[in-house]
Amino acid sequence: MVGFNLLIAVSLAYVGLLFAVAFWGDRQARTGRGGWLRAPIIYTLSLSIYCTAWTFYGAVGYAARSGLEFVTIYLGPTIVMVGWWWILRKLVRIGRAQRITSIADLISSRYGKSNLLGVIVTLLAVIGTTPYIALQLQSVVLSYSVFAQQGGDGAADPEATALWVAVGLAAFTVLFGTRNLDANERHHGVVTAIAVEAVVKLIALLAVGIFVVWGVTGGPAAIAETIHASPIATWQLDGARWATMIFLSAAAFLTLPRMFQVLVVENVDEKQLATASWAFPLYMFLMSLFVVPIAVVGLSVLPEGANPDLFVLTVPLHFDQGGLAMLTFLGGFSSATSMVIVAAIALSTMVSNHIVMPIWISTRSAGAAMSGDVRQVVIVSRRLSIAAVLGLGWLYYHLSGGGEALAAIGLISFAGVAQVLPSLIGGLFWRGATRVGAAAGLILGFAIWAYALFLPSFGEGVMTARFMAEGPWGIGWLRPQAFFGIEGMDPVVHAIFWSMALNAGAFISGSLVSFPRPMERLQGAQFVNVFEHSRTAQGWTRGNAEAEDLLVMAQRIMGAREAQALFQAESARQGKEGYLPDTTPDFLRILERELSGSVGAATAHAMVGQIVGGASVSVDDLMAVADETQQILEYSSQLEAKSEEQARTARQLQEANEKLTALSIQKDAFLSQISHELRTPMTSIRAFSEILKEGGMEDADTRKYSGIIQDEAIRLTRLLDDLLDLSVLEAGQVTLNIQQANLREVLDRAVSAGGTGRDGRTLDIRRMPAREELGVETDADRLCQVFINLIANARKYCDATAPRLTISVAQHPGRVDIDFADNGTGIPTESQTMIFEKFSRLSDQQKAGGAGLGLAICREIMAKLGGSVTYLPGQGGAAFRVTLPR
Amino acid sequence: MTRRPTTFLARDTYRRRRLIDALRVLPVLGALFFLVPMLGAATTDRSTAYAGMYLFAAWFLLIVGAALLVRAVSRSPGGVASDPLEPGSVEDED
Repeated sequence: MVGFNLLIAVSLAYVGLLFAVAFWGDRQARTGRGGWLRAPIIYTLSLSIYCTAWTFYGAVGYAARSGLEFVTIYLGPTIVMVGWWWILRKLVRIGRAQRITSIADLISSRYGKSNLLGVIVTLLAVIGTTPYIALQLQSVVLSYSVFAQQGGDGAADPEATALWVAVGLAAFTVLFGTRNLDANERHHGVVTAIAVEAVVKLIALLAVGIFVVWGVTGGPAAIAETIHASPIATWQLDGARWATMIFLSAAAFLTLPRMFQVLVVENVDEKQLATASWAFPLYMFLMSLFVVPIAVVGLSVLPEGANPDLFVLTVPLHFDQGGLAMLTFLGGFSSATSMVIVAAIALSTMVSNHIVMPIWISTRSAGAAMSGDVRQVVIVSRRLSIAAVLGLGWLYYHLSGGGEALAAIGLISFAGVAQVLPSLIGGLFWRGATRVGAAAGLILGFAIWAYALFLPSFGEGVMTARFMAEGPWGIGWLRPQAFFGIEGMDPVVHAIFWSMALNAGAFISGSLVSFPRPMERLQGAQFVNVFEHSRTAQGWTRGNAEAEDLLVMAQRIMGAREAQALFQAESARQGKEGYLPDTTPDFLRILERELSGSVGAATAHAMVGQIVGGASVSVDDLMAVADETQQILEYSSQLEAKSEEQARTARQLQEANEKLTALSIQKDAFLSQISHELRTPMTSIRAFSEILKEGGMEDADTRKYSGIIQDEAIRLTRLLDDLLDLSVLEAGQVTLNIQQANLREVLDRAVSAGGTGRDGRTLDIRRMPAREELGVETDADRLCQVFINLIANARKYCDATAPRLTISVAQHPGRVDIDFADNGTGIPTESQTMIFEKFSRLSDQQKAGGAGLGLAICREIMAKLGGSVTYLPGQGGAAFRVTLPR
Repeated sequence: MTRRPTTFLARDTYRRRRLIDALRVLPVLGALFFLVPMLGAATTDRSTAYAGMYLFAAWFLLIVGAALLVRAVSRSPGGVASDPLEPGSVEDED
């Protein structure tokens, strides 16, 4: 017989052991010896918080009432776990990539860091979890009272017991659950303690099961006989309820805040998940293996009216197995406490990040993140939230009086949190899911759950029997348990069917008709395509935040050491060690993600936003950026075009300048040449005229000297004629004598005039007379002048030993080309542009004898004749092409 | 007897993809297992003992299947951390 005082002592010792284990686990992690804490088996055991006191005690009660149906509570999670590749893997990857801190944070973050959704999910979680915490307290109290009755010590005050348990749990959770602010860091102490508790409860239940099967009835065959003889021998399976329960437990497994905490937030490695995918179903398998045997033995040996929810305890006590009963008690105690601890951590994170922090920030509009110690605020708010959550649980227990069947409230709680499922799954797989749709689905589903399941569970006090039977104001189709007049459904199935259907409907249609904000679209892409880019693009567009302000804020949230390490790492990455890093969008993104590990995505976003100046991305921003980019692109291409034009102009200018410089040099040379040309004959004229003036000479001499004077005067005149000719041509005052002429005759004249000169140089001129027989309408004298000039040039400048000029004529439609090509070295490329200019001469060789006006005159003449004269490069020597119109 | 040389490339990666396909099918199989008792349930009552044996056997089979598949996948190139069917994973680069 176990005394009540012994029980108190044992449970206190057990609690002391848990504190020690948690403390030791934390220390191991802190001193870097906690590698084993990352082992998949620890992760698997931490998942066991799914098996609460409800399943520890309640499963047997459930089985005693409805046979095998209890197993659905484990079958749903089994399907989810073995299907980890579909959902859990994605969830875990997103949780790590986005530094998700809770299920509310996930929903908020997915739908554009919407705080509204964070608040809705938080409220839903608190309302759904509070009764569950009350349930755990109740189970502890009930199990105490069993021992108290058994020991005959008189029942301890159940409410006082519940209060003390709540206080103890709050102390444990505050102590080990709020050590690190960063919710993404594992709570090593808590996880270690939970792993120990998981083992204790499994061993306890297995021990009772083995005792019942082999100790009481004598083996599996005998147990089968007992089952056959029991009230639950036949299994009346309600198909709808069976399927609904499996679905419900699967949904709740994903959406329960505490399950999300251990599955996603505390996960550090996908390998953990891979192992847990079979190991956790195995754990649940073992937990439920002996449920039916215990139930049937309890039903057969215990007196009618015994509470089946306590069979796990009362059966060993009935057979006087005090030690076994004690172990079972500790198992149940473990189930209750581990669930409450993790739920309190998860809920306090949500309440603190989505309710307390946003309010705190909004009350300090002037740079909230900058004033006060944010870190302290977060920790205090989280501790207060833990106390508040447990206080609410105790209050619920106190108000409800703790009389209901355990399983009923458990299912109601499941159904409440399952309302998050459509938004969760939709958010993971459908990019089109929007904040509006999610909010609509959540609110509608939550309302239906409250109306059809939660409120009716309070009984007469809240909804009267008349209300239930006739509906509000007598509206029959709104009856809480028979929507649209469809009667006969199981109340739980009814509530789940309608709430999930309408929730999903509102979610989908709301998403279809609404437009997502840019942040939603960014986050949606990040979540749905998490495997394609695990990097986040949270879109800080401008980096005008002060690095120092950011550091100050980060220190207050993350702690000085961590924040400085982060900033130093970023500085090093940017290559400016020893200075503060530049606030690049990339860095802001990293910082925001780190902060969101402490205070949640929405709050972190708001805090960085306050310092950066609300520079996060919006459609307008995107449009503006796009416009700006477009404008800049256009502008730069314009600039490019302009600069090309300028470069062209500059080149032209440079060419012109070179030409001018060359011309100026030529002109100087020409002036000296022309003065020389003018002076030489003038000198001769003066000298010989002076001799003539002195007289006393023979006639022959006189005649000779007069001849010289005349020749020189003619030369002067010719030079002046040339100048005059050019100026007349250029001024356009020339009159042309256009008539029919034969090209050959013109050439003949030119060759006879220009082919030989006084210098005695001979030029071999080759022609093809047959081709030259062409009639042209032109000024023959002027044309002849051009030809003479070209032939004379060839004669004068061709430097071949046997100078030769080839004159060829080619007819084209509308024009005639006459080419004059010699066999000399030709004209250098750099001079080709110069030769047609006035006063230009390639050399100041004396023999040229001309004034450098010949080609300039030719060009003017040809222009007047409607043709042209151009230099023809690449002909071996100097070559000119005269083009005449026909 | 010697095996003929095969022209099949990336045998390991191919095998891994099929293993992952099997992993994906597993929950469907589980759901089938667990929903089978609903068939004909409206017309006949079943023995709790036998139905329980079926359920637990199916359940255990599912667990063993999951464990074997996870073991096989984690030994394949890439381990359990990446999915070759998804763009950007290591195997797709070849």
